[in-house]
Amino acid sequence: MILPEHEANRLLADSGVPMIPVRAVKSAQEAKAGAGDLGYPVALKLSSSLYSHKTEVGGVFLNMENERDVEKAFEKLEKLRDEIDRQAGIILEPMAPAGAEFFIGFQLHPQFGPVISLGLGGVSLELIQDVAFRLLPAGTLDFREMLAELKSWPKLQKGFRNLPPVDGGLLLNLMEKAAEVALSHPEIVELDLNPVVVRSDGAIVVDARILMR
Amino acid sequence: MPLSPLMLGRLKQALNARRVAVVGASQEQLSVGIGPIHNLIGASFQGDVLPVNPKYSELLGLKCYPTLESIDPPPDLAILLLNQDMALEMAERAAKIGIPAVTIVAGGFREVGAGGQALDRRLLEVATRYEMVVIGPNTLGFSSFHHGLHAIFWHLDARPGLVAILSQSGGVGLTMGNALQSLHCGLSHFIGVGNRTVLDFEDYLEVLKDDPNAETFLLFIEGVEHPRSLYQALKKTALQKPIVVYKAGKNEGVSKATATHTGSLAGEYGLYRSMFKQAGAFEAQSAFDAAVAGKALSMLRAPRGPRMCALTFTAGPCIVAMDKLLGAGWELPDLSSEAKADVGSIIGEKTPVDLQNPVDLTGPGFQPHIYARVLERVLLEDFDAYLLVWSYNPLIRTPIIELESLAKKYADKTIVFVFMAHQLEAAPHMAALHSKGICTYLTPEDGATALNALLFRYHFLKREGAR
Repeated sequence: MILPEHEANRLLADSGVPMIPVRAVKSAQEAKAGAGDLGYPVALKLSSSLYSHKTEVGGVFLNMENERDVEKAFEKLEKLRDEIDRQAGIILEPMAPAGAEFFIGFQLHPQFGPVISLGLGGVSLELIQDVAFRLLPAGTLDFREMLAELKSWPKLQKGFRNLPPVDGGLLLNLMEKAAEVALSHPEIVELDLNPVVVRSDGAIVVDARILMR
Repeated sequence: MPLSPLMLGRLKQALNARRVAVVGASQEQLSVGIGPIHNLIGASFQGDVLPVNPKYSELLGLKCYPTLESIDPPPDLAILLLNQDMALEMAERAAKIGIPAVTIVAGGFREVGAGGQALDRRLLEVATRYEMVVIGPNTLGFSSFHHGLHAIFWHLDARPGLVAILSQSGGVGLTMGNALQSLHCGLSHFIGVGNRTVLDFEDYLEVLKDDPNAETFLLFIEGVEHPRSLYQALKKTALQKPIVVYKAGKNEGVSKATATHTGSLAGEYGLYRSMFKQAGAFEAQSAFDAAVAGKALSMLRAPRGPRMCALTFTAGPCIVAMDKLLGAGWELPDLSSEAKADVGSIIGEKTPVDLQNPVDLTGPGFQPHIYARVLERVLLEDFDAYLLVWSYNPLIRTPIIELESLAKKYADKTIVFVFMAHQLEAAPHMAALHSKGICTYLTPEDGATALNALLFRYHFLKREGAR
């Protein structure tokens, strides 16, 4: 089963993975208050174990700048929840900082065993498939080779277009952490961290999916 | 599952067998049954060749036995040239009289589907019960070249050398063997692993990694059931000896759609590629490239670093080599100003050359004494590897003697020689160069592939040493 996003987020945050803070909100009032705490802009999302691709079902509202937008989005998500998954929650997040987006994945492969992947993240992932793999357990030097295998890395590292430069070390630390979490939770079959926003001053996981056995 | 110590011992014994029974031996020219007899008596095999066939009392001058059981003492290897059903029955008979190893040539096992799978299972049961080693089924067989032991029914023209071929396809294995032969590089073993019912790649590697005759491995892999075990065996072996893999089946679809990206991105070939790299096995893109890499890795030590110097008197070949080399991570630092001045005075001030790296000597460079003097000068520079390009001309002496002495004198440097000539005119020179330990290829692309395999080995050993 797919863990609902806020549960995946908690599992990873508890293991020391730098996650974007997520809070479950039960009412429009709570959402507005939360947004006030976080500071605008914010995002509201449906957190469902049935729909892992939230955007496709209209379950994601980004870059909301004021209370009115938050309230409207909350009402729409409530309606969507009633239609598609009554068990789903609604979650509030700050908008991720701008930065290069990576993908870190884990899979318990039936033949190859535990495999970690690293790729160009965000929407480019499936289009470009700039991605590298290693069998786990693997060391920092293997992770470094994976990064070097990404065709997009040399440009991203320096800061591509209007993006800030990337500290590869932060990304490598995050990979090590992700590998550690996956290997220490044998019930995890697949794990997606996408996007992982990395700059020179920090790295943070914006969205996570976990498939449990 | 790893083999028992007894079975590993038996595999080692089989690869060095002294008494070889050939069941289903024949003297018919167009039969499979004549192959191993012909190969064994035609080579330097010093053991006993024991044909078994009730139709003959003598076969090609050898005493022929009516049954496997009538050979006393029993052989330590039986080559079964029988159809799949008879081979299975004979394997069990061999096991019962304590024969430690058989080779089964017949196909018709699991590769043909459900009926064959049942035969495979029965064969595995027999082998497990008696701890008997089974090479194949569905294989040409194997050769141990240093013993003249050709337990193989087809022809492979090869001299004893340092490279062991383990191939999931007889045809591709032979192609790699022939390619090595064309590069004047010998073989230690040729093993057609066949269906791998009892012995898998990891078992052969486990035994051969400690065999002093096998210095480098060339594997042709179509696909295996347990890539994780293969990974572990490759890595363990690669820490001792170089491995080259050539993988078929690159276009299989990615795994079925899954809930996450991870599941859908990881196509099988992508995982094999990563696994080979991680395990320290250099992946070649053709059977010939596998031989090119295997030759270099068996002849030369890994370089001490990625700094390369290229020497030529004709620019183009170096340019095409650089396309491959720089992409693989070789660095091409400039010569020191002292070296430039020295090289300039060796080739003569009048020659209008802008000395860089690659060092292009132009006209004066094809004079063997000038080429050799410049080579010695650049060998003094702080480079780890050298790509030497020489365009053959029968009117001009090739500086083989100088190459030999410089390669010996600067033994810590990795030197690859590109001798541009056609196969036929090159043959005697290639043989001479090979015998003097000069790793030589006919094209700049092959020279680059060889150097890339060596650089890969450098990176692997460095990575593993740093752990």
